[in-house]
Amino acid sequence: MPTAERLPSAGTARRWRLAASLLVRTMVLYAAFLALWPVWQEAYGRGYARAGQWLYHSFGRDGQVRFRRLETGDAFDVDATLGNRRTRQTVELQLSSRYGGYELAALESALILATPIPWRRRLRALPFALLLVHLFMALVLGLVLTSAFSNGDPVAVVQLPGPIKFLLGLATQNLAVMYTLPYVVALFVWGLTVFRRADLEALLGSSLASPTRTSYL
Amino acid sequence: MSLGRGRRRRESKSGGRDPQESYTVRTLAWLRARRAVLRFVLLFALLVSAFYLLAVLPAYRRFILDPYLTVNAAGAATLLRGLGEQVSSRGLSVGGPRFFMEVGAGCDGIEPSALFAAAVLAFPATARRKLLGLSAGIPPLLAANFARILSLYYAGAHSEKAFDLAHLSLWPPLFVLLVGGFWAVWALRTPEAAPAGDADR
Repeated sequence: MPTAERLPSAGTARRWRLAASLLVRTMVLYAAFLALWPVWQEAYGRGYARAGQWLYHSFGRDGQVRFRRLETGDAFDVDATLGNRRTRQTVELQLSSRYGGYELAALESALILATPIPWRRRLRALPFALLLVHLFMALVLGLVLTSAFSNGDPVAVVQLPGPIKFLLGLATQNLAVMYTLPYVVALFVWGLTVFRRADLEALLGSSLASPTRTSYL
Repeated sequence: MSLGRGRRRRESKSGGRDPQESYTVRTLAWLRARRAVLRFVLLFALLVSAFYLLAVLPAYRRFILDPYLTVNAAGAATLLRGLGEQVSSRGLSVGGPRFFMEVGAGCDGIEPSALFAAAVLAFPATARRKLLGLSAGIPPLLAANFARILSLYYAGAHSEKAFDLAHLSLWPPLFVLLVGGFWAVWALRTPEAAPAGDADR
C-alpha cells in the first residue's frame, strides 16, 4: 500500500494513479455505505431527531421546536414542528437525516478509510472527523431553523436586519438545499484530521508549511 | 485542554511566566507555524463566498448560467442521439419518450469549476502556474458535467430511484472529489510546492 510520505518522490503519472486510486476507493466505500443506509436508516434518523431536539428544542423566548422521526421510509424522514408560544402558530419542516447527515458522514468515513496511511492513524482520525462533520451539520440545521424562525410568518421569533437575513438565506441555500458545498467541508475535515504537518510538508513542500515563499493572488 | 492545564500548573510551581501569557504565546506560535495553511483556507473561503455572492445576481443567471445550461442541454442531447437515443432539447430541457429532464442550477459544471479556481488561486504559486492549472483543470470539469447529464438521463430512464441516487447522492460528492483530486495533482506539481529537485518531474 503506497503511503502519503512516498508521494513527492513519485512521478506525475504515479501521482495521477494515486489520486485516481484514492478517488475510486473512496467512491466504492461511499457506495457501500450508501447501500447500508436501509440498515442504519431507523437508528440514524432517530438519533438525528433526538440530537435536533436536544440542541434546538427552544429557540429564543417564544420559539420551540419538536423533532419527530417519520416512519414513512422516505428520504425526508424527520419532521420538525416549529412553534411560537406567543402567537400559538406552528409550521412544519421536512428534514432528511440522509441528505442532511448520513451521506456526509458516509463520504467522510470513506475518505478516511481509503487514505493510504497506516490503519491505526485512519481509525484514530475517524471518530474525530465524524464528530466534526456532525458538528458542522448541527450548525447547518441551526441555520435552517434560524432562517425559518426569521421569515416574517406567524412563527417568526427573530427580526434580522436585511443584510444578515440575505447572508443567512445564501448560507442556507448553499449548505442545506444544494449539496456541493457541504462535501467541500467534508474534504477540509478530512485534510484536517488525517494529515499531520509533516505530511503536508512532505506532500506540498515548504510553500504551505512555511510562509516565506508565498505568492498568493 | 488538559495539556494546557498541566503546563500551567508546572509553570506556576516553578514561578515562571504568567500561565495565561504562555498559553497565548503557544497559541500564537501554533497559528504562526500554520500561517500559510490558514491563509490558503481563508483565501479559498473568501473566493468561494465571492462566487456564491455573484451567483445570486440575476445577471449571472441571465448571462452566464442559463446560456451555459442551454449549451449543456443541447450538447447532451446531441451526444445522446449519437448513442442511439431519441431525444431533443429545448432551452434547459432535454429528453425523449423514455425520460425527460430539465438541467438546472446545481447540475452545472460552473460551481465545481469555481471551487477549483478558488483552490488554485488561493494556493501559493506563480501566476503562470495558476493559469496553467486553471486551463488544464476547468475543461475536464466542464466536460464531466456532460457525463453527469448523460448518466442522469439513463438513470432516469431506468427508474426514479436510480435518478435520485445519481442526482443527489453520487454526482455531488464525485464532483467535489474530482475538484480535490485535480487540485492536489496540480498543487503537488507546482515548483513552489514540490521539494527541491522534484518539480515538474
